[in-house]
Amino acid sequence: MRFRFRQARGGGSTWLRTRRRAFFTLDIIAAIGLGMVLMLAFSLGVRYFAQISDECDTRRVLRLAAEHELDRLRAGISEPDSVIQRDGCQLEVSRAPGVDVWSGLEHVRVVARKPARKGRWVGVELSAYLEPRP
Amino acid sequence: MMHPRSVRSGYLLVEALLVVGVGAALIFGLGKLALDGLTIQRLTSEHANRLATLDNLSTQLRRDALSAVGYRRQAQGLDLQSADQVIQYTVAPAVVTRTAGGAVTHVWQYGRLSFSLNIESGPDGDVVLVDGHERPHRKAIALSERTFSLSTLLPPKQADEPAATGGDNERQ
Repeated sequence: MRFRFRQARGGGSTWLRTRRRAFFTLDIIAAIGLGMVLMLAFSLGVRYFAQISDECDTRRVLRLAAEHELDRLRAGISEPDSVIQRDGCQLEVSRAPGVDVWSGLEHVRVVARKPARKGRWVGVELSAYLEPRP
Repeated sequence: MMHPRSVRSGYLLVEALLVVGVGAALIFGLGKLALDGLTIQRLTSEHANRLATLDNLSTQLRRDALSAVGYRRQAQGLDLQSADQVIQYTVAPAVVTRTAGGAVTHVWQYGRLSFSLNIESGPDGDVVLVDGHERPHRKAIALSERTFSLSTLLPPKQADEPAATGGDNERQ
């Protein structure tokens, strides 16, 4: 027993050298695994960012398209109650009579939709009260 | 059982090579990801600047169109006649210029942003449409090609408008 203790405490024993190398290898494996997890997390973050950015831009494009459609309605170019495909945007125009203080006007709704990244549909709805066309 | 020293050295060498190889690949990948992150940050900032440019143009154009009493289509833009002066919008492929009273007051321009102007005519008025086309960077990591269409109603067309319905960009 005394002999074994001396052998284990000594720096040159095989037992200790083997375990030191094992700890060193474990450290490296853990660092590599952590690096891979970091890379994976960053890649997922970039994908998520791209998706969110694409959705925001699509929403802005749709808002501008809906504003354009409302301008066309005011100018008498477009007709309400129609579905229009323009520049990849699907525009649905519907109207309803205005009520209360808005009576005498038409409540025109423009719903613009477009598929964003990964085929996920994004929609924007704008409405305005316009004078009814004869 | 203890292997001979030469075998143990071989194992150690193989292990060290594996560690160095995987570690180098990992460091390369992390470096590339860091560079991608910086690129995304730069592209996003440029994209935000382009959107701000378009927003500014949209605000100014709508304000001028609202205060104008008439407009005239020009070959490369349009003239808005307000009560006291003529405001000219010149739309070149890469730049939009606003001239008021003979002096250039605004210039909208940004890299990878091109413009075009169309006028749509209807029975109750005309609509001007300025398309701001954003071309993506060749490293299109997060941004795709986009066209942002700014539109507003125009005041009544002026009588002496030259070639009002025959323009190349005219669309119904």
